[in-house]
Amino acid sequence: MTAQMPIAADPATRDNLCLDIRDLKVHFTPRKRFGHKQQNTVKAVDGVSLAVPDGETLAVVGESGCGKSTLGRAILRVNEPTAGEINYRPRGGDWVDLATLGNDALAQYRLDLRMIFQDPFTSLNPRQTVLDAIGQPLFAHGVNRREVRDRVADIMGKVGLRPEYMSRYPHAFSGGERQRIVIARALVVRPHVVVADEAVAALDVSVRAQTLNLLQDLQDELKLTYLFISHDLSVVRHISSHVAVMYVGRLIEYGPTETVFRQPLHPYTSALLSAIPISSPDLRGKVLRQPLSGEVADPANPPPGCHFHPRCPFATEVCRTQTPATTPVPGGGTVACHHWAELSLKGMPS
Amino acid sequence: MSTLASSATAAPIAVSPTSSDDSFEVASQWQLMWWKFTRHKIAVAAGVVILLLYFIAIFSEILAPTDPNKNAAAFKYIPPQGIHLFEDGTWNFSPHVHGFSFKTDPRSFRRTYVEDPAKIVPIGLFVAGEKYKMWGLFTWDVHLLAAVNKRDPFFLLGSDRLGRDNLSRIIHGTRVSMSIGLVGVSISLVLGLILGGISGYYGGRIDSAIQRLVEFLRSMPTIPLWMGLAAAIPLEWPPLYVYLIITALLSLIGWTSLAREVRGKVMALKGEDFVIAARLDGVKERKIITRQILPAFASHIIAVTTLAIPEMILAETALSFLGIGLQPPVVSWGVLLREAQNINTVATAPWLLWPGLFVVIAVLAFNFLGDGLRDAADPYS
Amino acid sequence: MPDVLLEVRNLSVHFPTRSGVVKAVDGLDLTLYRNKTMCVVGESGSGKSMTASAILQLLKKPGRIAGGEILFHHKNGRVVDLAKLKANSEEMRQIRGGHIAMIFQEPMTSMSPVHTIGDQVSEMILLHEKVSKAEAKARTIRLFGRVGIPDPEARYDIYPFMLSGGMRQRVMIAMALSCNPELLIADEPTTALDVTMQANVLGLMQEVQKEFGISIMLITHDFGVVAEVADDVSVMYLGRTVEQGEVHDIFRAPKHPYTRALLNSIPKLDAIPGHRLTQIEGMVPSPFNRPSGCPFQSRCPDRIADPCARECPELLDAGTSRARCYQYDPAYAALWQPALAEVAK
Repeated sequence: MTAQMPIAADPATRDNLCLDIRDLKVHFTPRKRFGHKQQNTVKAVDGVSLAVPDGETLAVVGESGCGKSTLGRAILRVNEPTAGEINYRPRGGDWVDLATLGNDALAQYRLDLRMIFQDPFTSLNPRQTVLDAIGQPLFAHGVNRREVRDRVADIMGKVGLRPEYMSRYPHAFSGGERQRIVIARALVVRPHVVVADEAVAALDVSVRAQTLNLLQDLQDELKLTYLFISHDLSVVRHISSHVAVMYVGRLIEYGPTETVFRQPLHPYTSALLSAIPISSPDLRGKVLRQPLSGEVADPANPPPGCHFHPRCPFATEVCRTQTPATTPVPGGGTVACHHWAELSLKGMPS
Repeated sequence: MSTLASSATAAPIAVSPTSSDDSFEVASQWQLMWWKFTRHKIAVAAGVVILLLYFIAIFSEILAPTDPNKNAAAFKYIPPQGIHLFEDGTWNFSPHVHGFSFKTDPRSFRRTYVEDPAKIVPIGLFVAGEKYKMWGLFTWDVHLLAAVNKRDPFFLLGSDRLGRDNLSRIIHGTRVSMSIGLVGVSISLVLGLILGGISGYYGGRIDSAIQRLVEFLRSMPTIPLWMGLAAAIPLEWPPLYVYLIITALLSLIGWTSLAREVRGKVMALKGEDFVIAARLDGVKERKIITRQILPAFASHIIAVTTLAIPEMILAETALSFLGIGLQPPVVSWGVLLREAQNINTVATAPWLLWPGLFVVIAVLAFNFLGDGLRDAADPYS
Repeated sequence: MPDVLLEVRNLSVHFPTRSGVVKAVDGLDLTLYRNKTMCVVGESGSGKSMTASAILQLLKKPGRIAGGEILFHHKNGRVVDLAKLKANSEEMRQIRGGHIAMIFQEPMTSMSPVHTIGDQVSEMILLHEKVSKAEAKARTIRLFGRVGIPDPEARYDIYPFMLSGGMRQRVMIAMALSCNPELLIADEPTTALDVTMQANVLGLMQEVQKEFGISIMLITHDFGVVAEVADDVSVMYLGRTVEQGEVHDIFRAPKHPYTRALLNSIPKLDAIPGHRLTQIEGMVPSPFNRPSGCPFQSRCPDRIADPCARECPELLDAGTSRARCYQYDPAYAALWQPALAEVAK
């Protein structure tokens, strides 16, 4: 298992953080069914430690099945953590471990940590008007209807929707507009941390830019912290200040976005960066591709040692048997690789 | 991602607003459903037929020309009579039917009726006829269409072996047969919603237990089960009790399929993003169930229920036909069809098959209506 | 003059619905050359997938080709108008299996879940060619090896669900190649795949194109994919080609305002992180509610009401590429001169 988390172990360095996740595990054990073989536990998140700087954007990247969505959902306790700490510091408050809170105690933080879902078609109830959808958290907390209307109108204006439309139903809106409704619902309660799970992945290219700009404007205006979960590395590079790379449930590299993109330390990060499509045909043949062989490991049955070793060109005997420890590196990041110091990997061309 | 492509197809909703554009944007689920439903012409027609059948069921005493159990030994197996609007040979308006004279075949001793134009039986609208107790509340004697003299023979759909009026019996049978479906389905609905809902929402052991019960009930052969249970009903019980017990028996199996549907829907909806969003918004569990989950499949349940009613009607008809369902003097379509059980009767008095036509019409109408409702049930797809 | 393989002229695909006819494709022009990759780029509702289905006569009901020509140039010089053929005619079937192959975003939808992948590919070969079963199998295994399926002999007997998304797409490519097509239509083939898989599959497609000498029509919404593989680009918006040209020209000097805006709105890896993206205002109009005139005019930054709202021009020569914009019509170009001069300053 991953060694205890070295980053932010010193309380003094926690000052600029708002989330400090330590050794978080989310395991899914399928229920034993009569007449069936007991299935393997899926270790969707397996010992992830992560520090989220206050007021900034931390991107979590990785391929499908790496556990990035589960991580985001566990922070909001949509998926129950199996072990570990989710330390959160509210604005002007003291650290509290969300992982251990009961439902009632958790309720008071529900409005501080919010979520933007990926699919604007499934995350809005088609039977609710926009007012009821955006105002839902307010109604649930006993705010009276008049005030809800005012606040919904206010946030609708902020996300670029006409407040006159609040009595309409979601079917009257396009995908991009619906995503604005979803964003408005997350932000109407003036939250602190927003988990955005593939928030722009389902949007058209022309609408994606609008939405990314909107997210940035709202972050500046409302002093938000984003946990931006995405598979799209060019969007991540654009929006995030820090980036965490996951592979089969584990955090394999973390650091300031610029550092990680320019000088990745983990072979997987480097391979991932090299796979990003080029931005112009003029770059054809100028980018060195490091094609990965094999498939992403099955999280229900991961290989021993470093999960990446079957696909890693640098793997040695130690990689096959021992799980690499998460090691702090110069520049404020961490990496989980036995050989990071010996490798000189290629990053993005600058 | 893959949703990109699906969002393209999901964007235009295939429902057209009938009035101005604005109403579409603020149209609720039920309005969208109505718009979609009204485009399904056969379903709308079926809906009208069903309303008509229930109208007959509610006002059967008035609509029936006479008492369904009034027998007239002199008029056995009378064939249907035709209505004549005018006095014979003239244009004087005087609606009537012709009476009968009968001959006896000297060899088979079978009596055959011959319409006798000399015998005029005057008929009229809203005439005072046999007395009845309207809805068990008050005594009345007005019939929509009946013979002016209540002793005259007036058999629009013929009569049976005891000389009872087939039409009156069908009309009264409508009440029993149409309501048995409703009552039976209501019982299945309540059981199915509660047990299926619990099973789907809580999962785990409760779910397993309920699912095993469902599987057990569904594995029973229904006809022998019903026969056994119906045979166990004491003979001295009043017909009304028997009626209620029979409906309960019918719904005993009916709820299981509904419970499975509800369970599936609830399980799927529980993990939907918008339900998770409601939980994160701090909405109370009870409100999540009543405001988010239930409305999402209410329309679907209505459609499924509508499709379950004809099964109940058919089951009742089958049971009564076999003689183990409702017993005379209660009249239902199934009880009436029992009269047409042997080939001889059918050959001599084919009009006794009329209740069968009503069963077919009712079942078809419910199926078409159910289809229309099911198509309209999810206006967002 | 490069060798033309497929020419689409003024194609229209209509979907009659109760709320009116949706013109999913509305006057589309497209030219595909032999041994070239043409990328058709567009957002949802642009009609790009519909175009592919129309070419193969695979439109879902009630969609139908309402007008235009789809001219397929056979190797022997014969030209067939596919739009005129019956969807289930023998000739169309020959075209579909033998001359034009298609792969989709989700390979599972076009594979049989109850047959092994090997049998499915062999079946395709047996259907279109007179070969023995053993030979078909041997060819299938060779193809599997060619598309990078490890241990192809053992994989011959497995079922599609046992494969990952990337592997399934490789099987689809093998199936498409099995009948030596002249054109491969790929509808968002990598959209459902992770970046690393996407890079592998795109690489494979480029290799087989060279090796088998086929043309590829690749439908995508992602300019990154276009930059990787395209020779020619056709940009679609609301059922029309708004710009068509050579890939380097399109990226260096996009001529249509929509192409320009689209390229600017993508986060660039070499730009300063955190900069504001250039955004296109508004939303893609609903197909029920198309703006009159140029389809892009409701969102266009260069719009000048008089010509743009009236009607949409044909594809005009815009120098390096051809664009459907009045800026390149000599009769109207003067209207944009002051604005362009402003920009130049």
